[in-house]
Amino acid sequence: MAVKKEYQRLRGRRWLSFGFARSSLWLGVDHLLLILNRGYSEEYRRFYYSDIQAIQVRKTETGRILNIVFGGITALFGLAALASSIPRYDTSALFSGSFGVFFSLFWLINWIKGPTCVCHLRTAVQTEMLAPIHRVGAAKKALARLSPAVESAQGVLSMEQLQALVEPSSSPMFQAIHE
Amino acid sequence: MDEMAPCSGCQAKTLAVAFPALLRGVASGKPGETLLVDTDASCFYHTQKKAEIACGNCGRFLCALCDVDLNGQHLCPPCIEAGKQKGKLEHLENRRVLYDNIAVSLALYPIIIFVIFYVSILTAPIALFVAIRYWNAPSSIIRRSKFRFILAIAIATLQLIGWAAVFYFVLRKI
Repeated sequence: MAVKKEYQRLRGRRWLSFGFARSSLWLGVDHLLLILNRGYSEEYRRFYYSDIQAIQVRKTETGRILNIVFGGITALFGLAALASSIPRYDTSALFSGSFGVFFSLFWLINWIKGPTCVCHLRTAVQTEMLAPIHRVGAAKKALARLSPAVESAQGVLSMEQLQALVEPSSSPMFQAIHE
Repeated sequence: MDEMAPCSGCQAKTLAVAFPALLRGVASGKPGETLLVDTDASCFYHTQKKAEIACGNCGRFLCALCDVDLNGQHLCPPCIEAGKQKGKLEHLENRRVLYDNIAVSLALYPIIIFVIFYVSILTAPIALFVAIRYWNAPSSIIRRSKFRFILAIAIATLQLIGWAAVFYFVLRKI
């Protein structure tokens, strides 16, 4: 019989510290585990489902800016390749063209991955950024898996409680979002 | 999952999920009840406080102040400290050294960076030592196989055999 894994990986991974560390998120039985892997050691942070108060995802402009940058560079190299191949085809066209293709790959990957975001997890004593979740698509999928786990530990907010949290600007929910 | 909506404050598109814990405050610690009757058991650490529970590890009587509830297990602070230092309380463990990665790096890097291949005469025995010495040491908290240790042992052994052959032929020529 197959042994059930203690942790299940949540989609998303992020390289930090100029590629010398990477962080990932794992769903445990009673907690969410954030791992910072530094190659030869790992650091762990645990967020127990019963302690999680809110999770907030905020869309950022980083993805759009990267699209503009990569798109611009691709267009520049593409134009350079086109300009140098109009009288007659030479090696400079090949050079510019290959750079254009190289940057267009980055553009394509960034475009496929979708818009970027930052994700924060709030407990009674901390607000922690979940670095591995940095794309909106991944964030929604992560929330779809994480929310049931938290709700199974805490229950679900009733409509009355939800309205009381959302409406007045002095509510804890409002403060959680604007911290 | 709901779509993102603009924040009323900064207009950034936001998605927030709230849970009932948001309505709970931070649980305040209990001060511990003062011992009034001499026949009552007292806390091991605070003799003036009434014992409420025994430590799940050492069995010492604890007052409400000394009782630490760790995932349903009631422990005293020294047991928690000792458990954390010895790595017996996995839930308090916040760092692990990945010896399998160290061993495989020691074995592989001299091959990958061919310019420093000669250092493998030193790194191969070290890789072998690390792999054997820390074979049973806990690796990543995410369970993984012993593949890296096996790989490190295999590569380091091959390197050592290679060096032994080099020395054998060099010495034979002399």
